[in-house]
Amino acid sequence: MLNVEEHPPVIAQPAVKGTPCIEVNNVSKRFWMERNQASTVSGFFINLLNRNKKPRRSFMAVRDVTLHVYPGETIGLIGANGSGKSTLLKMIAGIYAPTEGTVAVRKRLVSLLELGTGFNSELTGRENVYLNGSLLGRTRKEMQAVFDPIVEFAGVREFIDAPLKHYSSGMVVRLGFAVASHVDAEIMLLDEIFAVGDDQFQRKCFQRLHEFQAEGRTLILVSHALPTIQQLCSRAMWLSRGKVMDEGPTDQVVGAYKTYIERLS
Amino acid sequence: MNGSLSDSWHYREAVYNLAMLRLRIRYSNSVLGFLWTLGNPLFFMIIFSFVFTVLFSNGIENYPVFILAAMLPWNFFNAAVLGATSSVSGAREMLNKLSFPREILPFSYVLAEFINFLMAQLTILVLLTIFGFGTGLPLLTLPLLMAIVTVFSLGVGLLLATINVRLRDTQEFLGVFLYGLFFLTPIVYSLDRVAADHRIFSTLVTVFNPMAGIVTLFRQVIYLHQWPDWSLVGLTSLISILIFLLGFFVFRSRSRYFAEEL
Repeated sequence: MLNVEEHPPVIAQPAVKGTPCIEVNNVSKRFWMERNQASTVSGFFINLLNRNKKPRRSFMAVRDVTLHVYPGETIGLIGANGSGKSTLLKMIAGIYAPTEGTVAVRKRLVSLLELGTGFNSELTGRENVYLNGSLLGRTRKEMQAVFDPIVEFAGVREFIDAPLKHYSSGMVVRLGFAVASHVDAEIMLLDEIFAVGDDQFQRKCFQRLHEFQAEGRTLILVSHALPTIQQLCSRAMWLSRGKVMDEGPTDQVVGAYKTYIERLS
Repeated sequence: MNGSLSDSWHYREAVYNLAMLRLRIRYSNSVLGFLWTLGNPLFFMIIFSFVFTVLFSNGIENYPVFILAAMLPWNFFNAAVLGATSSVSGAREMLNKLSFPREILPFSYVLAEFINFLMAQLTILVLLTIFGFGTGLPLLTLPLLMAIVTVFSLGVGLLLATINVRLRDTQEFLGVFLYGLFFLTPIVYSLDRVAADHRIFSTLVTVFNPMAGIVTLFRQVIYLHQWPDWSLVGLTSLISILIFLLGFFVFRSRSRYFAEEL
């Protein structure tokens, strides 16, 4: 784990207000454990004939969550595995549709849920930067403007025209973070990106995130690493079984969460 | 994702990049590369020509060209629809981590096949000219005909891609279905040569299989050197646009659930 003391303190964040750039209102998400129809054409017809169907099982991954995020804030989502924080993040990112409630995002957003998604190992680093950029909805022209900083950040200058399959896994991860954190966006969503990469890379990520904050942009982080959350976030939300347990200043929420965990063990 | 085409337009570079990636992977794995695209219709042309001119004489002049003219748009349709159908269900990882408009996946498959189609079509036209088969002004309508078959393929592809997310063996059924449809499309024969007491067949095919009209138009232009039957152009355009709108609407109404359903 990263030694937190080495890093600059949290940058004082603006007293929030104005219009929220992300508005999550009473959002719930239900997942179906099994399909109501078997997932084949033949199964579909068998199902039509079969009269006593088993009821579908489902579970609520997120229950009635409301979260308003204001420009310039850094929000941390914490909670145990399966608490619904990643599902919530995916709804904000537009990957899942909420079952109930509404999600509104009013600024340009980039999400980094897994480093290197959308990369292709046959393409060169350069081609992957443009492919990834286009999958994030950025034009070639926009990507050209940030291409050099991306390569610089990832530290892959001499390999940029080699196919990605010759990269080390660390290089791929660095390139993934570099692309997502350099495309033009007012909001960035990050899911557990600190679990990967070596110390030096993590340090660079932190630095980059601090720059992001300094530029007044908005961040939402999902992480199990409480020191990371405490170091970066002005506000935190603790979820358990899809429900909001606590929400407010980071130290308060992390404190409550820690107390809860200690009581369990 | 607000449900309009302008949304997809914003991601046009992703469509192009994904299509190029597809073509590159396909061709980098084979020495002959693009020749495969051309080789397939040429191979079938030779087989069918042998069967239907040598074994069963049919009296059609320049039978190889007769087949080829209809074979290229059919092959495009076939490959585009097959590719588009599995495009979404095959991209589970990407759909779960990225939020791009989902239709760029089928679009990119169709674009890749279109590029193939275009190159094959041009090569064939050059070959026909070299062998003195002749060309003519009606060839100027080819881009329009290619647009019609592309819009139609997109519509069918969007529709089947949506179904394939829920019913995963759609793509298996589709292979068999397309194989049958090949023979219910006037590719190795033409409808006006169907015997008089089987006219009901011609009518059914024309009404229920839009590809019949489409390949007939290609044949009129490339093989017969005639201007296309404009009423048929109008009809196939209309059907293609309607199918596309239907496909796009159905796809868009379901695409927000693709990530969790896969």
